[in-house]
Amino acid sequence: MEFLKNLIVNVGLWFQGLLASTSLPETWVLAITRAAGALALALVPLVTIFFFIWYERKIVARIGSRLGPNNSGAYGGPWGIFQVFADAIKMFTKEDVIPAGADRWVFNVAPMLTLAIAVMIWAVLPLGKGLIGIDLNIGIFYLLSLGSGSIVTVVMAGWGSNNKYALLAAFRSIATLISYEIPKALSVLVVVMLAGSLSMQDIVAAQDVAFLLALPLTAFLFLAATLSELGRRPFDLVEADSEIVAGYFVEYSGIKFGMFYVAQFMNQLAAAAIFSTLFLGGWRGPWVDQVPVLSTLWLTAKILLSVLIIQFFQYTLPRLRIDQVLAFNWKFLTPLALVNVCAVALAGKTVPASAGPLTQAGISLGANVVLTLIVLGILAIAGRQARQREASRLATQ
Amino acid sequence: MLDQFTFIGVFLIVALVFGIAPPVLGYLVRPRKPSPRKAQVYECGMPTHGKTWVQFKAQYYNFALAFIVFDVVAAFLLPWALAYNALGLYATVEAIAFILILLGGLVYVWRKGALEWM
Repeated sequence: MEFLKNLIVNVGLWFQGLLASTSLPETWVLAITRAAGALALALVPLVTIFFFIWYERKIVARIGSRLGPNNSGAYGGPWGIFQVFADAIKMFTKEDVIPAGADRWVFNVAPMLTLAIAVMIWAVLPLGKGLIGIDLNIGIFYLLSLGSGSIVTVVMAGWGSNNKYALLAAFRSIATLISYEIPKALSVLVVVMLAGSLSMQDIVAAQDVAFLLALPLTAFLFLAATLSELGRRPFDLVEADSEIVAGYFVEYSGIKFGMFYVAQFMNQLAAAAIFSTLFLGGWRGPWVDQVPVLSTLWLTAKILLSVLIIQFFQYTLPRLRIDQVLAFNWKFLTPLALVNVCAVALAGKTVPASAGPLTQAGISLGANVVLTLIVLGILAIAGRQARQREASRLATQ
Repeated sequence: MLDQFTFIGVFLIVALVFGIAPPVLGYLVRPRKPSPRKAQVYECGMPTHGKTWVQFKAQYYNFALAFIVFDVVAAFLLPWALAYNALGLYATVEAIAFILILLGGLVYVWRKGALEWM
């Protein structure tokens, strides 16, 4: 029973004990434990992604009044839960077509790097109490830098394909992806300010009050930037499947397309996990201290909830044009994120540093709410002026 | 510190293996029947006109420049944010002045029309 209470950590400790009981030198024991841990951790996204894609497809189907995957012949399983495995097998057996004149090296390496980077994110995600690949002291900075790394693979895929559509789509994607890095980085900055640490476990530990309650506007900024980075509507110019088919990976077929597809979902899962960690309190929840294994379940519940939110944005909002997407970022999100940093920083200094976390959270909430109201007021005035201009323009015609 | 990044290094190798494995596995099971027709570039059924790797719109360059400014700034501000709780009001006001100067830069870029998509 005691073993079950902290199941996952105890399995790791048991494995280490098993190795230590053999006559291996201590450094080897440590190295093997680390390598096995890394392997197990990397398997987490790759295995869960199959059920996650199924979950996502079910949500999409329900939003569109459909059933979604429910039965796929011999492979489907109950409620079509093995549909994704059938898809994966199909992709493995498809021929690999490399377009003539493609930059073969760049073309082939792009999907590999995309998938590798999507896996790399999981090294610093806190998956439970005391359960994390490595609690880097610059954890959140590491995540931001990986986000920039994935942009490089977009260029590689678009440039290597020898296809003008792919190339143009890659440029468009990069323009949006790099633009939305800024509000993302600036909203992370506010979280770091409140948590006082870049380490993911410390950020979780700092959330006696979930940061969503302390920083609602910041959470919104982060979510908007995340939606764009994932290529989700209303900012899904990266993919825009009903218009430009698949954007920068239009030339990929078979398993290489599958890798881009899986990496996208993996990024979405990771983004939901990051959002839960930064704003929803991560793995924290009732009874975590008594039964640490519950923490992983709480995190899973929060991730599924975040995914639900992302999905509702994705499948209920129309797509924006490229100029609207970029204008929304540069003329709205970026200035707002900058002002938000100032507002929270100033508000936090109105109370003494010795004040409790509740006071801190309350004052940040106040700053966020006031800023939100001001912004909504400015938007209302600007919108009315724009409508009046439009009306007078129509009247003079 | 170094120990932490050893784990990242190990994880990088594992992640790269996971990236390389699917195409290799696919290579073992998939059919290979190449033909010149098949290798044609997909572009609405039309043959591609001219070179693919053409010069692109300078507009993207503007956004890239603005991005670099603000991204570097975010990296500059992270140490300040990290030390925020220990800092006094003076340091906070200084950081805010820094951010306001940047906002001025953003307004300048905006007024110059570099943010319009043409």
